[in-house]
Amino acid sequence: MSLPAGSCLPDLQEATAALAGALTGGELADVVLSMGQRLFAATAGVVYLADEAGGLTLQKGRGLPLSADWRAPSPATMPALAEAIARGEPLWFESWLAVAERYPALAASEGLPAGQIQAAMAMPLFLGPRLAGAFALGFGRPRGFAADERRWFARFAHPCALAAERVARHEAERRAARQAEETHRRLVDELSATVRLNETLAGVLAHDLRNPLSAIMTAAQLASRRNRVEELTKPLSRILHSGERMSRMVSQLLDFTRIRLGEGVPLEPRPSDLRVIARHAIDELELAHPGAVVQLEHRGDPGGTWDDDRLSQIFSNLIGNALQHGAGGAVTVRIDGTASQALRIEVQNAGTIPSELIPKLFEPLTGGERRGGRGGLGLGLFITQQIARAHGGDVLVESGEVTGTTFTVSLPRIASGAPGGTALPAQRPLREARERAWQSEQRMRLLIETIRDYAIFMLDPQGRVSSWNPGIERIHGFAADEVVGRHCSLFYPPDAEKARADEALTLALGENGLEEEGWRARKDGSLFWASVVTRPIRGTEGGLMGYAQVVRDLTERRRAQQRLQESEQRFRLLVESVRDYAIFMLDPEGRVQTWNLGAQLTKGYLPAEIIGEHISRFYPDEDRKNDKPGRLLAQAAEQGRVEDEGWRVRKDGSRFWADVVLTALRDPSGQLTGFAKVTRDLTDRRTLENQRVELAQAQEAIRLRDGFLHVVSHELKTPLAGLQLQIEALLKAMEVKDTKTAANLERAWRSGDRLAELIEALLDVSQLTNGRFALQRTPLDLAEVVGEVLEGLRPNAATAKCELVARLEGPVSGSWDRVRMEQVVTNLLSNAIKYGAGKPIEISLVTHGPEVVLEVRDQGPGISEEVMGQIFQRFGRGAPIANYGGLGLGLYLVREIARAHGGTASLENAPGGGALATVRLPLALTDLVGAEGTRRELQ
Amino acid sequence: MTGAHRVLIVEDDETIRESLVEFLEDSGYDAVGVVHGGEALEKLQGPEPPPCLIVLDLMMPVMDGVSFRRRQLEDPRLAAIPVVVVSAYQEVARKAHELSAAAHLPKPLKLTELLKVIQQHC
Repeated sequence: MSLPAGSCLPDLQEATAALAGALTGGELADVVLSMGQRLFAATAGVVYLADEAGGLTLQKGRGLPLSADWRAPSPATMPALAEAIARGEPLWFESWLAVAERYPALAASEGLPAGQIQAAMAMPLFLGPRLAGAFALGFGRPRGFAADERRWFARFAHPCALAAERVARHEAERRAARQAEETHRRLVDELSATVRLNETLAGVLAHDLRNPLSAIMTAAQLASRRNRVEELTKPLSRILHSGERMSRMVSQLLDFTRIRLGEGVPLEPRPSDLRVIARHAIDELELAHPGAVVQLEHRGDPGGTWDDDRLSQIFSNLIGNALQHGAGGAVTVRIDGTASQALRIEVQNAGTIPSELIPKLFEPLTGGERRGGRGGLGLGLFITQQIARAHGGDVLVESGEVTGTTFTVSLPRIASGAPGGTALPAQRPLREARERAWQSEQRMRLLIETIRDYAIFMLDPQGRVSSWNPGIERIHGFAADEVVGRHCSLFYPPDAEKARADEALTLALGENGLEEEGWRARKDGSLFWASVVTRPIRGTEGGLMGYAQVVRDLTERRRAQQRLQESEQRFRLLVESVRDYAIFMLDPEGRVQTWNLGAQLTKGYLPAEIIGEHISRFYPDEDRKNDKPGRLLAQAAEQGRVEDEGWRVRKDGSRFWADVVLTALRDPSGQLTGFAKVTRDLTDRRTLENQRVELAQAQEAIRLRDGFLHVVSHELKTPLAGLQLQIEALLKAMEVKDTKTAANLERAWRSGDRLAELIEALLDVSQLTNGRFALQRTPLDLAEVVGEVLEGLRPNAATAKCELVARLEGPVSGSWDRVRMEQVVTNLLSNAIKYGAGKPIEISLVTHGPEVVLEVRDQGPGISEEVMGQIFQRFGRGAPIANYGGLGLGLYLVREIARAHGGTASLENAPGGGALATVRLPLALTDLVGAEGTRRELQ
Repeated sequence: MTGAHRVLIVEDDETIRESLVEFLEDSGYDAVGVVHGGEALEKLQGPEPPPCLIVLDLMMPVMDGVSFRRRQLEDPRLAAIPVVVVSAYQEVARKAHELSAAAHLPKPLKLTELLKVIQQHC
């Protein structure tokens, strides 16, 4: 079947429009295959599109036994397509014989259904040198391919390639969105753990670290009050000093956590005196640093309204810092209150900070880096800055070899809040591209201009030419003397009869003459499209003197009009089929006049529902109230076009983030005829953008959290170690002298142990998140380990009035990490004692086939549905914070340890009440683990 | 010893509780320690004379400090007994204010300061 001549163009337009509507590879393939079937009676076909890897991937096939071999157009399955691509031009096969001759291997294979393909064509889709895709069609009968058909396909290939590229871009965007979503989902877990940690730290860390600390210090104070023995006061004061150091750290941690939670630094401003605050801070520091020299100078009025406790922190931090890094020299503190609105505090020492460290100075948790890993949480300066900013001021630092280092705090005389806020980056590239598109469209319209050329001549009453103007030569090609006296039918096409010219003259005798358009002939016989105006000319008595005729050559205009019509039709088709953009026209008052597919999809209205309605319908209430739609229209009318990004409302009331371009339309006289409005739904893009920002924030939060845990656990360990050492030494010295004081110190010792355990737990979490949780497997009897832990916890159980009922079937030999196993049993038992106080606790250890099962059952309140899901999560908890402290790490560690050993851990409500914890461990080393003693790194 | 010199210590941390009891006894007070708000209410509703001051921790099992204080204020016989809030909470001052406490001390405790507060009320 051959395409009828002359009908190629409309079909191509239709095909192009259909291609423009395809959003996925599948849809694009459908368009191509349907065209092939409908226009060329193809019975089979395949469509491939370029993939990310630079190859081609099958999108869709029809009438072919598609198998995995077809995924890419290989020389084995699709030799014709492979060759067409290699040659960069289409191939045509008018019969199966032609195929078989060229590709004997294919003909011999059973890949194609015998006899079904009798003719074929293969078309590569190139955009310049780039291969965007390829398609092939098969035909059930032998057929020739006429030149116009080949041309049709060649012309069809370009929009196909463009569509292929667009689809690829769309799909890449969707893939990126999916990937981002996936990453996002994975981060949600980590993020919720971080949020829980933050919440936990705000309330519980304070309690859990401060309580044992408080216990130690209370006991030590008590001991030192009793003992006037000189040799004991020194170690006791050291204990108190260590305790105070830890206490300060905990305060900093809490401030830091609060700032991280976005609560900022709470201020209670009251009238204060900077000089007094500074003096107090200096006195305290001089006590702690015997021999330190701090000079205080002041000028002007040191009074203002600030939170004096917080400012005292600034002085302590900055002066303490200056003393620590001051190279042993004096520290100078200057208060400048000479200005009326603001004050300056300068803290100067002789030390130098390397310039590369200055930008990092105020970052949290960088203490280790700055000081080569010696001491401090690295939160002091961060908190100082936050306090200054919360007051409406700031901190700057300058450092040089000669001048030393100066920290300058600026403070408004009356504390104020600091503003904040972020803005979404503008979508510039997108806008520019669209602007260019619009400009070219307008240029195209400007091209279509009328041609103004006239031939004017007079006819006598019989229709013979009596006079002329020079235009006649330009338009008709006659010299003037060639036409005078000749009948005007001369100007008509040769096949027209003289009667037609006479008829026109007769018609022109009417009042207004005759205006007509039609073909006219030139001297050389060629035709042109003419506008002819004929008017009768009458004498003063009313007698007919003749006719005046004005002829304009409208051939160019007619062509242009035709082109415009075609272009407008194409444009209309394009606009109508565009899905991504809502494109519609408004009248000068802003009422909707046209409505495309994109508008339907974006806004949800059918054309009948919205045409004639005002655009304010698309705006949220708040925008309608302040007449944003009206303002945008006025702005567009004034400036030609206006762009806006903001929320719009769909038919169903839901909102979307839109990018809008409103262009004023004017007729040639400059009169406003309406507006063109292009709206794009950017919600996805905005969501993606937001997700990216959130992702970055989440990653930062997690990085900070991990760093935080690590620093906290390490830094707290140091003063604690010193403290425990002192207590131990004191205990030894006290043994015989004073049993009562010794008892105080023993209490302090026990609290120190608790603190150490807590810090170890934090360290474990930090190691787990950093993937450094390693097992040290050794052969051991698990029953023995459980028994030992049980004995160790008996006193705690007794205090809580819990009877421990054990059923241990031993020995249970295997290879486990002893310390970790002890931790598992300790955590489970402590948990049971904490929640099941006053009731018996059952512990059993039995072997079931290839695994050993440890069960701990209490008779406490059990676990409620809400917390069941998060009980094994880091910082999850089964009870309100106000009643039970703890970091919520115990069960998390149990599960992680069980998993590292190739086992599982679970917690459920036991039948008959209480909670039942079960840990199952394989007896043999599982395939998760190699040889004995292998360290398994957790991911 | 009369109620005028009796101090009730509500604190779940055993070490702190025992140390405080011991310290106050050393300082000449009749100190009684209980583990949580529930025990404190029981003690207060018992036959013994009411204390001149309650030293109250906030975070405790069974009945926390806030719940205890609410119950105490609801009971006209107990409402007048002054309370010193002792807590590891960062916002101990605000909490104490909310609970209309007579005074507040942050943890770690300074024994001399505790003694000053007690001397004001007993």
